[in-house]
Amino acid sequence: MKQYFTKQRESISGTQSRLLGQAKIRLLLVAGVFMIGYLAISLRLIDLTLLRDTTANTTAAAALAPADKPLRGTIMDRNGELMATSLRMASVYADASLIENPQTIARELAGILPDEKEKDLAAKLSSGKKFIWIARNITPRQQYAINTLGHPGLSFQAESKRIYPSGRLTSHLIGYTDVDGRGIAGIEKQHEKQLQEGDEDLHLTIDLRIQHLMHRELSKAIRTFSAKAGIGMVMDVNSGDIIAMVSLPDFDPYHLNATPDDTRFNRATLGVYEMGSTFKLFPVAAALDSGDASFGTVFDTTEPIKFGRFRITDYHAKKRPLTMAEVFIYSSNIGTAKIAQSLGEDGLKEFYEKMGFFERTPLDLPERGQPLYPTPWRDINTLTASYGHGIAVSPVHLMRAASALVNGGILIKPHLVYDGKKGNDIAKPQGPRVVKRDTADKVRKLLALVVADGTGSKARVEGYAIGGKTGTADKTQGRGYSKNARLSSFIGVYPIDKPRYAVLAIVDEPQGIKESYGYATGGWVAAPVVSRVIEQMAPLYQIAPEGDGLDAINQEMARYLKEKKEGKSIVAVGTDR
Amino acid sequence: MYKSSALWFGLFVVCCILLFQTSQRVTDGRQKLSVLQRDLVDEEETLRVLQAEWSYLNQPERLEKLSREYLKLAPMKGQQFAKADSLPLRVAPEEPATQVALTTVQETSLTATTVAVTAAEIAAVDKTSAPKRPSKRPTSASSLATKAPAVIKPADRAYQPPQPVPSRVTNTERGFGDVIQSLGVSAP
Repeated sequence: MKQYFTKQRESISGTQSRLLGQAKIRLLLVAGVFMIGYLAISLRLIDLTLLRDTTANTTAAAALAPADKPLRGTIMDRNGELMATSLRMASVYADASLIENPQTIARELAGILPDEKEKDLAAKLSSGKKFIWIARNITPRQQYAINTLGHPGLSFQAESKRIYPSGRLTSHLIGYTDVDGRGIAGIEKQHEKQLQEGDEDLHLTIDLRIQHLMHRELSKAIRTFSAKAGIGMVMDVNSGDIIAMVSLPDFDPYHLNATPDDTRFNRATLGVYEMGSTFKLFPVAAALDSGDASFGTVFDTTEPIKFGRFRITDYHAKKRPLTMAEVFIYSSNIGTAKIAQSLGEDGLKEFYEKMGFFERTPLDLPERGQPLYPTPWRDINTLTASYGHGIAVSPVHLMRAASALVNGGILIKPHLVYDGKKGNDIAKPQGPRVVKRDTADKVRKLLALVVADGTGSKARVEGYAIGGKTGTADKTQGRGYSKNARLSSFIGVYPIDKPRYAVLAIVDEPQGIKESYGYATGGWVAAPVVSRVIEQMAPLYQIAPEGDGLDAINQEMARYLKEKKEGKSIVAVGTDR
Repeated sequence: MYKSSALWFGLFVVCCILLFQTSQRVTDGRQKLSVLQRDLVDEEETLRVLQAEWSYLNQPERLEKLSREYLKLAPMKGQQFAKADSLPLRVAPEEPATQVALTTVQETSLTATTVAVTAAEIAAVDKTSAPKRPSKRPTSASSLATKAPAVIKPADRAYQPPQPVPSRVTNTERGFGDVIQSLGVSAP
């Protein structure tokens, strides 16, 4: 090229030479621009292919990621049965300004959506509004049908809908969410953060089968005795796993607005009640634990206790001094009050405090009842609190404290979130020791006796050794106690020689019927519920019947029981209050 | 000079083509990825729907009703347990095992499952005792098993194959059961 230009230069001169120089510069300029262009492209290529690799990827990933937030997490029972989940569903809305013939479209829509009335739809479609909901959470088939109508004014929006497959069965337990999908009650509220992230399933300690058993039997008892409400609970006394928790009446989680507030109240955890005779467990245990008293210690229950304007009486007074064992078996108010007197105010209060009766339970639910107890605490309160009046605790309190008395003396934490342990192993109780192991053994014997030959005999299950205590508390009415409104309860523990499960049934305001000879006491109303639950639950949990094992206990205890020594039966069901 | 320039140019063109192809592959791959990711989300949501349906179908109340209707089973009771040592000792068979099993089948009307199990046992026994003709005997055993149900006649009513039960039996007026029903088997 150089030779070519020099050749040219030789032959051309003057004005032409100047023009040629100009052209050459222009040529160079254009070539330069192109060179810069190509260079830029090459650099950009290198940049894109080699250098910018990672950033390009993340941008792509961000663009590809689903825009919607993850669906709310699922809640399962201990066997992996679904109790709550979220599904993506379409909702249809209309831009009414684009609708030309509202009547026709309304008719077509009403044919697809059976829940919507044609008249309402027509009114909505002719409203002229830019955005108006037609129907929320429609099925994919309905969505398809509406789509094929092909009206430009109708559009869809994906929404998530909370589904509760177990429905009423776990309504109080699971709770519910608000319209924005935030948990506002029950487990949904307690574990809001984990559920919102939606990564991990939440497993509960509940066993849906047992929950159903309890629900069924409790409903039956409420129907039979025309009761107002009921509470049922099954708990592992060693681990604190709550296997079943039923509060009746319950509600339909899909129609929250249609349910009265009363049904949404979780009686098992939030409600506090004066428990009545089931509470006698605790002063008796406290007396046994103190070492000052034993089964044979005699308390004078000949006369009712008069205390100011109060009078403490027994429903079926024996009118003779009773041993500690007899006080418990006959459920003597006078005797229990005397035991409390011997413990003293401080002794009883200290024991109740150890049992957790003065504070909320550590249960993992937002609905936890604050116990009610008298402040200031007067002398009379020591007496009444000993047989479960004047102090109100939640059923969970009662279960927790009773578990501590039978599991060897450890106050466990009742909980609902499953730690994933499988199998049939018996957990080692974790928590502070509240009574001596020896005391726990003695309490078990008393409980066994109540079922074997006492007020709890309706709780018997063939082949299984069960212990328990009945309770029938008069409900407060105004300033006094009602004569006809009562809370009948039974707390059962089995197998009594090595307790694993505690079962509680409480029936609110049962009415006596002919079959129960007019009685509506814990022994008639609640004990059969516990019996039927245990009868069906034990085989499911592979607990083999080992015989009721009561002979030994009967023999051992006979010397503390006068009627037993004389060969009479102890007490009839129904007489206990 | 010309030669080396041509070589470089050729190399450049080859690189360009390779680069273009690679970038195309990446684009395609990304498209596939996004499709797969969307499918994955769809599948996950379908899975949730199916899980929900499964648990609706497994509601204890519903199972209880179905079991009452179609099965002659009742909840197990404590009395139905027995200890292994309380069972009587097994009488040693005098005849060969095969014949004993066959006569048992002929004489008593066992339930279908028992017969099937017995037949399978016969097959197993035959395999061990007569290894020379393993092909023929199992066939006869299995034909016995297929024939067997005809012998069994339930006392109270004729056998009816379980009918699919509508999942509408829920506790809501317009519950999830309708959703599932309208979905057919799975979401599209």
